Amino acid sequence: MRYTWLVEKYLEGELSGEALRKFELEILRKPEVAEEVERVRSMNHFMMEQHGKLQDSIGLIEDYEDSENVIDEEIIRKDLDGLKVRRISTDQTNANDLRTKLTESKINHTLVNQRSNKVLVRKVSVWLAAASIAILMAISISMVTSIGGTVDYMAVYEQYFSAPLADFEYRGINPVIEDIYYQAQVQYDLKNYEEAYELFIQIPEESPPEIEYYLYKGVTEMELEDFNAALRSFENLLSDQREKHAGIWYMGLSHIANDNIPAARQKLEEIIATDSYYKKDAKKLLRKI
Amino acid sequence: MTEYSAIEIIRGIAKRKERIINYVYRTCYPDVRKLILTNAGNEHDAEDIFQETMLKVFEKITEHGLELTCKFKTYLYSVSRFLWLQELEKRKSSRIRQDNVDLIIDENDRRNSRDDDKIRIYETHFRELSKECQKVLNMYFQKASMEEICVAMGYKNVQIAKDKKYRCKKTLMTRIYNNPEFKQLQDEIHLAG
Repeated sequence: MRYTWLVEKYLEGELSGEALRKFELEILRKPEVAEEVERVRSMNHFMMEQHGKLQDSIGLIEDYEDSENVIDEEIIRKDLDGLKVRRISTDQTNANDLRTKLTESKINHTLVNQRSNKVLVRKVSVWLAAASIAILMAISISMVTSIGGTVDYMAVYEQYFSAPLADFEYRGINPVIEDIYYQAQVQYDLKNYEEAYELFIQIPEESPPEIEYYLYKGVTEMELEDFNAALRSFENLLSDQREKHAGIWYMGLSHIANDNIPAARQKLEEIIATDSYYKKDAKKLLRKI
Repeated sequence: MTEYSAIEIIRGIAKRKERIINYVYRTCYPDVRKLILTNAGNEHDAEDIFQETMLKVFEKITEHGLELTCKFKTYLYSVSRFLWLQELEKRKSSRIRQDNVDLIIDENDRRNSRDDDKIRIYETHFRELSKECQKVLNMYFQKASMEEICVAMGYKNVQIAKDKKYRCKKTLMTRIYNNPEFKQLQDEIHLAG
């Protein structure tokens, strides 16, 4: 077959003007060109027809970069079995955006339990941050360093410490401050702690946009290894019923980093005496130190 | 671009954090979109499947917990892939029902062994092509425009898509045409009249 680019363009209707006129003259003058065009047209038809028939059995054509780890359909089927979510009708135009759908689902779950690399979320408001600490702990529990009977406190600290993701809803009460706070959180979540800190300190300590300000600022200070400043920040959380346990937990960790083990123990025992989410982790951490 | 760990992504989705959801879109959607566009779907299908995937994963995380044995991106791809296969199966069933109706209308329209041979020859040579060629031709034979092929395959311009289609088609056509079985089949059809 002398299949040429010109024949392709001719059959695809891409020739026009003088080029089309010349090629059609060629077809008229030379039977072999006419035969070639017909042969290609017939082959095109054959391939199109067979491809249509084959479509249902051809399977997916894919070359995903991590294809060897793609999970088998049956496993995914079992994994998703029993989920209530069904496709939202496209008629519901207001729900076409994922974020709207998620909001409409009115599910306000928060992470409360985790083990190994498993993460569970339930309808209780607890700091998600703690999950990573516990996960880290579960994964690396056996790696806690203990050499010759002495404990490497920094190693323990690093295993248990994890920065929670910041989560702030703009309220518009104090737009200038809220904007700085939002920017600080962006930098914080991006793990640009120095930039985040510079923004956090622009917010008046006495009137933050929300109580969690002290948590994120304190964690930022921990990341910057200014544990005394972190302790001062976390103290502001102790009067808040919702956040005080997070405050005590991070204070305990800050004391460990400061090598003030008695103070760390005291904070961990405070947690253990409550029904705090951190209780389980606090028990384990206390045993380590 | 900031990288997030699987745990951070899972938590971010659970909390419906826009930054994490945007990150998932940026990092996971292109692969899912390409899978669907090159396998009989369109842009709308790709968006629809991806959103359904995200909702399933969201509920999975919030209601049942998510245990990862692979990268988050691969898990998400696997869910999208499964949902798309289900959708294709639904569409296939619908086509089969229509074909059955057609068979009742025209009882003479029956497949014979020649039809099976034709498909077999075609399939053999189609599967010999590179994955890229298979994708391009799969879209082309399903009447996707060159612009759509260009976008789905990530080519720089339409001319590249046209050139690729031409080369892939030429390879497939030449191999089929030079297949002795195909020639024999053509002769039989010709003789049968």
